[in-house]
Amino acid sequence: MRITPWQLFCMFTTLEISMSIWLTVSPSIEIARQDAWISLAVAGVIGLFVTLILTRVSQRHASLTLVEFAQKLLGKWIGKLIAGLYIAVWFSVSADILRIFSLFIKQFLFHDTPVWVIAMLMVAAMVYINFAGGIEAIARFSELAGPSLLLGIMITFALNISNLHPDLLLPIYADSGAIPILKGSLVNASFLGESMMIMMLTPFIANSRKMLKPALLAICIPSMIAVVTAIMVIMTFGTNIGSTLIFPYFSMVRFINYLEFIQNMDVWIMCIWIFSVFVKLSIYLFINSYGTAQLLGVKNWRIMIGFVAAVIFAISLVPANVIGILDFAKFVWIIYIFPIFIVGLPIILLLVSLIRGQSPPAREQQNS
Amino acid sequence: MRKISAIVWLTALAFITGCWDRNEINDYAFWIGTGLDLSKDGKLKKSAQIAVPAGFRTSGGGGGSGKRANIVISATGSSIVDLEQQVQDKLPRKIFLGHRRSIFIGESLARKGITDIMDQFTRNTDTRMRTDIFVVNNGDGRDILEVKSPFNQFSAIVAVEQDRFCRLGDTALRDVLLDVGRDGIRPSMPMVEISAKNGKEKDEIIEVKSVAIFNRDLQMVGEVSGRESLEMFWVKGVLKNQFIMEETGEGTISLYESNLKKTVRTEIVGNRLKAYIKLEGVGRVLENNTNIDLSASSERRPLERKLNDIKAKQVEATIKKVQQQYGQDVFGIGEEFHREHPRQWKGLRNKWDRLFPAVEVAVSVKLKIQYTGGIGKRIPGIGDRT
Repeated sequence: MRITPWQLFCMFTTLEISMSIWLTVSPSIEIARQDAWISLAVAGVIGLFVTLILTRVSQRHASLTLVEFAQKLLGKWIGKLIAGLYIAVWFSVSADILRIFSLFIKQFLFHDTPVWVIAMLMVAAMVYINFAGGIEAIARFSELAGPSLLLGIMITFALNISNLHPDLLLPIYADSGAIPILKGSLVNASFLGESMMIMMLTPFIANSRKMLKPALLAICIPSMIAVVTAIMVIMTFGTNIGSTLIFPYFSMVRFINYLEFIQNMDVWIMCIWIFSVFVKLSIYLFINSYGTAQLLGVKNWRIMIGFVAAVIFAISLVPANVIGILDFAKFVWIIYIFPIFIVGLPIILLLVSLIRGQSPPAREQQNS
Repeated sequence: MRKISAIVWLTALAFITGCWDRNEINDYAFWIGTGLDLSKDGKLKKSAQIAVPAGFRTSGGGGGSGKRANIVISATGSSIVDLEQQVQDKLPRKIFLGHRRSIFIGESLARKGITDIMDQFTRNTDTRMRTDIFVVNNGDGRDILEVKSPFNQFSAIVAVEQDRFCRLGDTALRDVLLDVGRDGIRPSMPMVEISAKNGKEKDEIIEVKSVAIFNRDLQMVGEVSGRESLEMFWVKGVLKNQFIMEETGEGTISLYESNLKKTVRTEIVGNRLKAYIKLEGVGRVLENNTNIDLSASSERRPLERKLNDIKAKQVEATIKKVQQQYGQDVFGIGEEFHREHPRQWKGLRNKWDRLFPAVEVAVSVKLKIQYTGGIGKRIPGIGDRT
């Protein structure tokens, strides 16, 4: 299984966009009011910094996954513990995303279909692509999904221009101030931190020395899109409606009515967007299966797919309602997972790796 | 092995998809317009204009069978969705709200307050926010739904297309929701009315010529109508074009003004709040009943100045009227203060209702005559009074 840098870029862009336009805009507007777009720009900078660290750590151990290099750096048992915690985090995130995705589809398209059926169909597709080709198949699929998602979003932005009230963006900065802007940025910054899955993927990247640029670009472009989305949502709905809508981007797309015949574009966008959620969940399934297999010392990681998929599906049925799932992002992801797993531990790993003095070129030669 | 599992999955998919939400298009009752009124005992009365496809086809084909393409169903209850169930009980098909174009609120309900009905419009994902919303002047929402316009099967759609005064069209609900809950602006809504001159007009014609003014609690407190409502929307910044007729003192002159713009500067001097409103537009002369030769710049320029002065006085009078009679900032002048003086605004925002009537407003108008129409001078002999 080999991924090219371009495929890496497509994969990460797809999975970052799907979250940042979907869940992060309205919490940011709620905190930073009409300056939410500044928040999201700040979030992009934080995301770039975090991804830089993550990529550096993984480049130093390009032929190993997180599970392996954590054990190598910190000793067998502490390493296993940390890797296990990371995998637990990824299990919980993927279950959370799976559930909120199913609820979203149920709310907008299928009112009477049980949630578990929608989730089951998604899991079936995820299992299939992982069995069929693993990460390489996902990468190829995202080559298709990523550009079409970008194109679709650009089209909706262009068509929405006639609905905009630029006045709603003013006054800049005076109403919120630095603290709310920084607070508002944490939401998207932490979501951009999902790039930590790169630590599991480096062994599959064909040329791991060239992976920094696509990884950083894949943070840049989604952040820019999030900034534009926030500006558009604020100019279309104002801060009051914008902060209360749970999925403001989709409400905005529903609002488009161009020349009386281009309307109801939400169905198209939702279709492309389902692709991108699929990419995201499939990658999670892959790293969870692969990581669990390595952790337990199972040689053939494909055996784990069915087991992991079943666990993710089961966890996804636990939360009671949509607010419970959104609370996961608010009270677990931002407060615990972001500082510990996305910022703290990678820095520690990087420091340990530097102190131990692994020479990166030697490892890379081994890899190539 | 892989093939077999794929086949099993595909078969399973065929059985488990689409069973719960399968709905044929002819199982749906399309809901086109909503009327909301206050019933005599103080409850909420909801009327629905529902498309009847069979009638639609005959009249669309030019048959003109006289059958209505829609029916109006009413129900009385305490909340909107409670009423939705009652309307559903009267229909053989599943109601579908996605095509609703407009909402008509009876004046008595509007005056009582509409906070209780607004939540549903943004929460219910079956509805679209792109909806027009009207207050029915001196009447009930149901009356408007009963109108049979010769132009369209559905009076709810006619009203949207006729909403030309503010040019808000179907974004009116969004615009109302934008103004709700902001400190420096109060909501306003177009009004629709049936004011028939004769019996035939009564069932066929609706008029959109006034604007309802709401206060902070979403209670209607008054209305401005005709020219004043246009001026109000011009100052608010949503009007795109209008006809203007002015009496110059030596005859009338009429213009079509487009590309309307407004810019507002604000100033806080001690305790006094000042707003300078500049209105601009590009005009085309449509009618000239004066002796002014529009083709001569020496005569046209003074005319422009005169028109501007007259218009500025009229707009000032309209603003003064709203300030004194209703005291609600439907123009959004408070938001202009907010934008220009964000720090001082924090002290003003909570008492804006008290401050707004005392804001000193100065209006300047700049209407440019760019075209004199098809002729320059008047044709000698037609109305030429000299």
